[in-house]
Amino acid sequence: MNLFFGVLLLFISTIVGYYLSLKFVKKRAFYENFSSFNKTFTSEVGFSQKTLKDIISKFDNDFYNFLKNNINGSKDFSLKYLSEEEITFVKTYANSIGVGDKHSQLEFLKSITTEIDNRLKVSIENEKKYKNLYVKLGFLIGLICLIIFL
Amino acid sequence: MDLSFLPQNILSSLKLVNLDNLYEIRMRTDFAVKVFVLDKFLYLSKDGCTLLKGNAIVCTKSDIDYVIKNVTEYSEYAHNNKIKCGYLTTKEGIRIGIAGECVFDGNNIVTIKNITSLNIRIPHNVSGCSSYFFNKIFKDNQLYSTLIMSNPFLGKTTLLKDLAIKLNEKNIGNLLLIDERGEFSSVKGENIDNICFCNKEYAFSYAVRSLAPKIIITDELSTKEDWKCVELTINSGLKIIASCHCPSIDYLANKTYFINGLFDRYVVLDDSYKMGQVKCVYDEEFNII
Repeated sequence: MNLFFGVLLLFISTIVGYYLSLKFVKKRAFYENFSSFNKTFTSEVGFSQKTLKDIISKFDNDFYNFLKNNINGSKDFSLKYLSEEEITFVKTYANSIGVGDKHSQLEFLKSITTEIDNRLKVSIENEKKYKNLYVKLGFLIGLICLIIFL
Repeated sequence: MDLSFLPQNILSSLKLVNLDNLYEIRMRTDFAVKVFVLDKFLYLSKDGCTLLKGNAIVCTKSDIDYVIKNVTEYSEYAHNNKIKCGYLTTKEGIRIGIAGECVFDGNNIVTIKNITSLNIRIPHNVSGCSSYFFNKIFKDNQLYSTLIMSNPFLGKTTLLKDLAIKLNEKNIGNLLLIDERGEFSSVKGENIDNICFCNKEYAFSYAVRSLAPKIIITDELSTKEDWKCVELTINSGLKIIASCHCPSIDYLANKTYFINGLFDRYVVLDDSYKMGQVKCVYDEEFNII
């Protein structure tokens, strides 16, 4: 019986570790989409003049849904894996795009590209660093519990 | 008519107004919203139109921003060519005049920012409004080049749209609409080609060669270049129907850019604020016909 509960705990704690590590994966994916959007949008503003609504309507992921909700004025959308500071940063970005003429818009997009790329870089490093660590920690805690039970 | 670009409070009030009689909505930051209904300006309150200023809806800066964002689909950069010229146009051809801070780079305008006023002009398709003078400009299957003139806001564009529909039905040849401000977007037909958001100089030069029109309809001849384009086109054998801001035939004749003998007919609209009401039709020698 103890062995059964011990193994169950080991399994559960590994799963918990895995789920906790997902926030790093989601954050990296978010910043990847953010960076990719910033590049696409810079190009659209410079050349083809597609509207923001047209560009974001074709995608369905957390970042684009954040932009869609911001346009619709909806406050229901939350991104739990981002910190308050990160949400403020994304909101400021979302409120600044589409405003003003082509020249000032391009200036803004270029000025913020480095910051977005830095955040993407940090999120990739954090994913590498913590994703496996969380799973391993979960497994380790489960293993300790199993030894205690036995 | 799609007015969904307006803020909710204004939109709800407009539901109580007969849109057939509504010609203009004026939004100015921190002032009451005004509407031009039938032949006078009224205030817009939550219960519809009113004469009482105290009951009127007051327009805020965020109301103006809301309209701009909706009309440009959150993409001012994509509409900056129009913004620079002082207007925006919705997909349905509703023209919105804008006032704010002009930003210049040397002598060139870059944009208009911090927009504080909007003049939303509600277009109307008044079927048959050109019937009164149609037989004076179209006789024996032949069209006369015609200039429609009046002060602003008396229905020149409405008449041009009705003429376009009539000429399309007559099936007398290709009809080209040169629509600088996107106001003819509702006019469609089997003989109609529409070039929109393009300056006249460019539109005339390429369209005459590539679209082979027989008749060209265009709004608001205002510059010397516009008149030059018309002259070249008429001299190449095409017929033109155009409009021009001008209160009377005497006033037109004294304008420096006016080219005598270019048009065969001149239609002057009544300035009594009755939309599209014709006062007089003149021939090429300015005789009343």
